[in-house]
Amino acid sequence: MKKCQKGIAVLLATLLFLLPGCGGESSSANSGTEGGGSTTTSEGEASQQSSGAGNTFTFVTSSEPTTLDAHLCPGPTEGRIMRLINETLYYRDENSEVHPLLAESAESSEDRMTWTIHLKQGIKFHDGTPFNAEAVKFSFDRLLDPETASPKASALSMVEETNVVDEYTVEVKLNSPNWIFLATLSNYTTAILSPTAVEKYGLDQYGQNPVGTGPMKLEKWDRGLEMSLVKNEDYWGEPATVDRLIVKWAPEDSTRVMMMQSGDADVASNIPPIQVANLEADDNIEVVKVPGYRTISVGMNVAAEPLNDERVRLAINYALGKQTIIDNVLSGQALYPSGFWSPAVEYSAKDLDAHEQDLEKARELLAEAGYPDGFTVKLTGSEGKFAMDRQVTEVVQAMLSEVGIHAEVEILDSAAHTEALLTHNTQLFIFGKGCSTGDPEYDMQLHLVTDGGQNFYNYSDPETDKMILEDLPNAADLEEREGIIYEITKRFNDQSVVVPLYYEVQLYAVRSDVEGFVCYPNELAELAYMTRTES
Amino acid sequence: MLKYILKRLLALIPVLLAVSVLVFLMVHMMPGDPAIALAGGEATEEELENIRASYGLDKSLPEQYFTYMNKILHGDLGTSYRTQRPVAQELLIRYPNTMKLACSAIVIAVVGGAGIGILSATKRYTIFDNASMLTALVGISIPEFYLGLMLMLIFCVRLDLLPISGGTGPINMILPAITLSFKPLAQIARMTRSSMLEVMGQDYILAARAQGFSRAKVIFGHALRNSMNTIVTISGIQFGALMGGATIAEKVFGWPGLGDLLITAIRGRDFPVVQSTILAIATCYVLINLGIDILYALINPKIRLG
Repeated sequence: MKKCQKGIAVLLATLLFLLPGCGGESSSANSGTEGGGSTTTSEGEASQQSSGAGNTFTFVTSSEPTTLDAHLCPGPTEGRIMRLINETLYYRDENSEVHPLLAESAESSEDRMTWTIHLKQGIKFHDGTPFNAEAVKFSFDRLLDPETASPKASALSMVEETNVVDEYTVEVKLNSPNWIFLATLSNYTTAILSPTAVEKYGLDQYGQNPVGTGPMKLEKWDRGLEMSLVKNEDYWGEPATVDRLIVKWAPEDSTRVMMMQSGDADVASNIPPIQVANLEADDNIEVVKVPGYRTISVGMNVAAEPLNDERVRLAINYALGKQTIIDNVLSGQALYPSGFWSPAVEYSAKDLDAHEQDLEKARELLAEAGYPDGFTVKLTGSEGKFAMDRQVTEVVQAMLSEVGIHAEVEILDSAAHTEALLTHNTQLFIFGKGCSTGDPEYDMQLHLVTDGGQNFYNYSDPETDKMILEDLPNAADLEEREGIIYEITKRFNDQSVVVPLYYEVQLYAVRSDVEGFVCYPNELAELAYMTRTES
Repeated sequence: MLKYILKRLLALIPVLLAVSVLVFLMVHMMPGDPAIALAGGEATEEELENIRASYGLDKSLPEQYFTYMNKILHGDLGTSYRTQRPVAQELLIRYPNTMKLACSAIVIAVVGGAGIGILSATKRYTIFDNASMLTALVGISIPEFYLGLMLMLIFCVRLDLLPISGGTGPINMILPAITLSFKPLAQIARMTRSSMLEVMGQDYILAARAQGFSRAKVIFGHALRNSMNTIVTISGIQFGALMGGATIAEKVFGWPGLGDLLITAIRGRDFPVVQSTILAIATCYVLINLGIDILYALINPKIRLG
């Protein structure tokens, strides 16, 4: 009896050990359509080191894309890959100029509230569905549909309705006059999806089975491991030179760098500034540097003392050494600031004054404002939101202390940081601002208008409100528009509500034998037209 | 014995219930709205409300908890906010990956650690002993992060012997497993050594030698058996820890395991993934502990004196 009991007990003990691991191997039996983790195929992949093999290229990024559904893509990590599959009506080139892509041409009504877009003809989606006005209406409607719950539905917030005029003509009615509607259609969120595929897969599965008109198609997605895209042989435009693109992800910066050094990857995104010199010293690697739309700044919540006093804000501005931060924290890999919008953004105000560090002036201003001995203030920073964010916060704290301002640093993770900014639970804060449309107008509505959706600063200026909400949309021409943008930016700049620290430069590493990689200012990249030079 | 096992299994239920409540509360008390985390701060209040409604986040906390538990009891572990995929699917992929890694690391740690410990104990105070104990000290102190990156630098970049990423096969498992095994190996080595030394000083060991048993038989047959308690206990604890916390090594090597899933989900405030993953890890941990306790009771050595 005892022996029998013991035997069963041993069996049970072993089972309890193995139980947690059970059921895992059956995942390899999952059908590929759901992109279920097929461990068998991935082990096959491991044996063929893809980079260096003809027209197969490996791109490594910082995190796994969460979805390839254009309407659900939260950011450029997804957008970069998704745009190879689903195209937009317009696109921005390396100089941020807007050109038609799926569109042929367009014209607007006199009041600039109705836009008629003529589409290119004879294009088919990967699944054979014809690309036409129906598909465009379908995509725009789906983006704005509350059921889709798109995080980027605001991209088309100005659209009142979309109508099909004929098979290749779409009419879009806006809710206010707009000069740059076509530029808005270069936003990857507005990509055109195959209605057939969306209906077939539904909201929860389309993201893993995207179907578009683009130069590449999704071949396989081993969740957690890697993704591969293949050339679309029936592409309507210039065929891709990349036969196969393998997308990998490595959350650890150093790992991405090492993958480049060992040749495990051909292109890597999000290179930390501190590693640039190291990579440039390697003959086999080139570092691509393209200024982006992102401005990193010190923001101020001006609702309460002492930040409601312009002299105090100016003092903070003078206390900060922007060049020092760029040289020492960003290893020189950033651009010297001027106004709140990066010069890479079309129509942005250029050549505004960013005050270089002047500690004497700062102390003077503080004394004048009634704070000769400085004051204590909360400085909210983030970690992991942009390169070196924590370090920038710490350096800002140190610089402020030199003029007697004692900053108590609070480092929050990404989600908590965004929440703190949105709920105005801040005094001083370090943050990054991108520009989703590549044009300041929409950004201004969010940031500078009283109670704007991203007015983290409690900034309220009736003159600014009027300029943004009335003057800007009703500008007579683009030149006048640019002038108004300049006025608004200068006014905001002069009040030192936000102190721009630097403009972020996008840093990519590319193997020297790879040509045809392009990085766009709007954080997207051209990955379908790379070639390998024989050396 | 069987009764004991059944009792322990039944006790699982209140433990997991408590864990589920605790995790639910913690996750919802974290600052950071999932809707904002998903939308990225550019969404209007209306859009945020919409997102919250579609995920049931606008309901009261007790209501959300019961909806969640109800789903679990029906086998539905929820759907990820970020990827729209069922959490169960993600877990089914990640679980075996972490299991593979943890098992390999523990095997290396036990075999290596026990081996070093035994040799040190038998060759005590020699150079080997001092060197291995010093290495053990370094092993316990060195940060996983640093060790992982150094191994990668040496073996993948400089020597080009191993690939950096590209799968969950055996060749990709070598470096992460070694990295993870260092600390437990060091601990097991030290504990084995001291446990062996303690046992070897006992009278019955001297008696066994005096009765003519070979040195090997005495070491493996008797001394080691008595040290097994300690080894098994440490291994069990380490294994449980590895199942839940190989996060750093997973991040460095890009190994798609539970730790990586959990950290990404927490950062993105992906509540269903966080809750279900922690529940899964807790279940695993409790089961492993039960397994260890049973094994422990089974191998409790009976001293045979001839």
